[in-house]
Amino acid sequence: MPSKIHPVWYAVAIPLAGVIIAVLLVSWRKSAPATVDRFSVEQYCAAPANFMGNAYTVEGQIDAQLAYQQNVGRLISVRLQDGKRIGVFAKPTFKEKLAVGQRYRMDIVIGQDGLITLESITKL
Amino acid sequence: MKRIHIFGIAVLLLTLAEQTRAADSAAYRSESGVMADSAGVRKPDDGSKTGQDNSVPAIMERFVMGDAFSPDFEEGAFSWKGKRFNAGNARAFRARFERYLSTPLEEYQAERTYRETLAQIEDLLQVINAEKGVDKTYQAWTLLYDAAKFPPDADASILIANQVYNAWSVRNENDATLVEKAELERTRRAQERTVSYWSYSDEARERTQYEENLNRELKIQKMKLMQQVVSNNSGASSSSSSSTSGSSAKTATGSVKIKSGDNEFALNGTPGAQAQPGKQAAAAITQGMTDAAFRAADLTKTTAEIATIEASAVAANMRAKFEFQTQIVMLLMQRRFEHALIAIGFYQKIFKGSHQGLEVGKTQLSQFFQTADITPSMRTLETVAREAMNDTRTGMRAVDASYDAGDRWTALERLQETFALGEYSAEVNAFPTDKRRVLLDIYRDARDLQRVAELKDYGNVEAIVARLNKSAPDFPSTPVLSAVRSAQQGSNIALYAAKQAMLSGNTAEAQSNMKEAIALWPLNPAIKDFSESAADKLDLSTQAVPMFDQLLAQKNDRAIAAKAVEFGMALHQDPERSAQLKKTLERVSQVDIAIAYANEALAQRNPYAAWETLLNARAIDPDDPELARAMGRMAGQVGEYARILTDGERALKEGRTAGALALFLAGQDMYPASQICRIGVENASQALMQQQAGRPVDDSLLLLNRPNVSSANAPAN
Repeated sequence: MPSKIHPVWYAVAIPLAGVIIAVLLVSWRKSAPATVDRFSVEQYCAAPANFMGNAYTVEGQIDAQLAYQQNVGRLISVRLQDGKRIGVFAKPTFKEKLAVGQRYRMDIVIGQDGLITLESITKL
Repeated sequence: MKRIHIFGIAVLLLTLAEQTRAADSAAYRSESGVMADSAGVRKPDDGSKTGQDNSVPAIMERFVMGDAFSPDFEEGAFSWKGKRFNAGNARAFRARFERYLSTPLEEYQAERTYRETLAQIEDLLQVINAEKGVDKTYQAWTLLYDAAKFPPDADASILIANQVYNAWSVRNENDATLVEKAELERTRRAQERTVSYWSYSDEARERTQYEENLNRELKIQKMKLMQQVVSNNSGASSSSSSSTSGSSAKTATGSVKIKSGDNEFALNGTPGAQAQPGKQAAAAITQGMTDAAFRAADLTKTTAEIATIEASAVAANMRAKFEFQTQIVMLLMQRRFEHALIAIGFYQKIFKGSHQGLEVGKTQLSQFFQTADITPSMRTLETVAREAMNDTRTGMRAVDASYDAGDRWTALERLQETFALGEYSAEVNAFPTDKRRVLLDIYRDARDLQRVAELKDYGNVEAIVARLNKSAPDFPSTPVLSAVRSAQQGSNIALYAAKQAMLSGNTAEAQSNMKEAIALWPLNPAIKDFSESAADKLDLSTQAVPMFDQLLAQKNDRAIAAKAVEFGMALHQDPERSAQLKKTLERVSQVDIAIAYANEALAQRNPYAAWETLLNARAIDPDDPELARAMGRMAGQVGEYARILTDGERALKEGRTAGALALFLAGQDMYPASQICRIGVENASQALMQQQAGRPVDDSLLLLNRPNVSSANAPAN
């Protein structure tokens, strides 16, 4: 039997439903609590090599920009939740705005010689 | 802080040592040299600058040892109111004066009897005391021998007695010749009567003419004889001895030849001499003369004999008078005024009024009476003697008045003046013994003062002046002490200049100034100290260099600093070692300052600041033991912080910039004011960026540049 709903309505409803679902998923993901890793500054200061290759998600406030060179990157100091500071390097490809005094959730990776590199950042 | 001051002074010494090399010496010369020169004491003024010698001996001469204290005798004589008296040379006079002062009056108790005897003699000779028919002259003469027994008389009375006796003897001889003369007169008259009866007119005329010629010739020759006797007496008197033991003139002799026509007779001036006809005359008389001529010759001879006797008597009288006058003048010149008055008294008794003129040699008179326009007589001499005795009495009254008023120095001066004139007078010899002793002590002190002043022993000069001020308050000590102080100051100034010259290495100038200092005050104690310190300095100089080198090699800055002053003095002429010493002292000074700051910061409960200060000081001198001790004491309070800084510095040095950055950030969190952490963060950040840029890291970033210890980490007030 032929449907009474015009096929145009199917062409409109299905994509629309998809969009709504996507939006819902995104907003749900945003509202879902993230996982913050515990990063020991004391242990890191004592032996940075032990942290090489690890990735951490930390929350902290940008304390100051310590250095910047075009096409090289920037170096910032971040005060973590425990009040201690670490130096974090952001590559030149990192385009996110880093405002001093702003709190962020950062994904960091400990690289060669203990260099802490910023992977991603979420403004809090 | 105390140590800071000591080291600061030591560094200052080194710095000033260079600057004083020329500038200070020049400044000294321009300032104190002018001052000393103007005072005339740095270089003793010989009178050319100021026209007056202000050296100590000259001051002594002007104010202390003047003519009043130390009479200056020219050729053994001194002048008083235009008269010159014999007093012996100055040294002999001083000896007699000192003997006079030291002789107790008790020895002169007999003096009173002696003076009374002299007074009695003088009294007997006074004209007003003459009595008719009483020969007081002889009495006075006998008393002379009594007076001569007393030691003060020194046989002066004997001399007068001898002169009186001589005069009397001459008079007796003249009396004896009168008899002979009378006899000859009678003979002459008889001969004249005989010759007057001659009948030959020609012979009579010739005889008359002959007699007239003879008489005239006799008169002329008599005058010549008298003049010759006078001049012989003058020559003989001027050669008399000046001692009071006795004077004797040579016997005056004279002879003339009497010529009458062809006849010649020799006439001698000695008493009793007879006219001796010359040989030719005798022959002429005997050859071809008539009886009348023989009688005439006899008459002539007799007349000549009478003339001779008269001339001899006159000559003898004159000689006696000259001798007596000479003795009086000698007594006067020897200042025996009382004896002179007595001798004048005898003279006036023996020689009558017409013989009062003074006829003794002009040379003696001119020596005694320095005034040319004077006609001396016995009265003149008497006046001089009385005036001198009066002055002596007045002088002794002044001495007593000054002494009783406490002006002992003035009394001593007046006594010396009075003693010079009236040494043999009663008033001078009657001066009490106790007063003599006091003045003797003052006199001896003054003599000692003169000697030590000549030797420039100013220490003893001051001591003697103090003694004199006590015993003689009117002693002129002020100019003496002023001269002494000036000389002492001049010597000290010259010595200071010598020290300066020695410090600057100018040994020639040092030696010259040293000589000057010694010339001004040879016994200056500072000269001895300077010599000893110079010797010590020499020792130090020879030992200081190897010691310094050894300590420097050991990097023992503290030991060098402990002897900073000695090394500074010894090495100031060694530029290289001086610079090393300076650097060493600076290091030690900075470390000590850091330790002091750290202690202060610790007291203010800022251990991190203290620790940073000590870390900075360790960069200056890592081997300093005091610093190590200070850090050890503080380590317990800054353990974690110290470890962070140490690890951070090491990580940075090793190029582990990320780890260093994390450590310095952690340290800065512990001590936000930390300069080391700030510098560490900066260096680590720059180094990290260079690493990320793929460039080689600058070496200067891997070392921490220490801030200045004095300015960094200053404790907060």
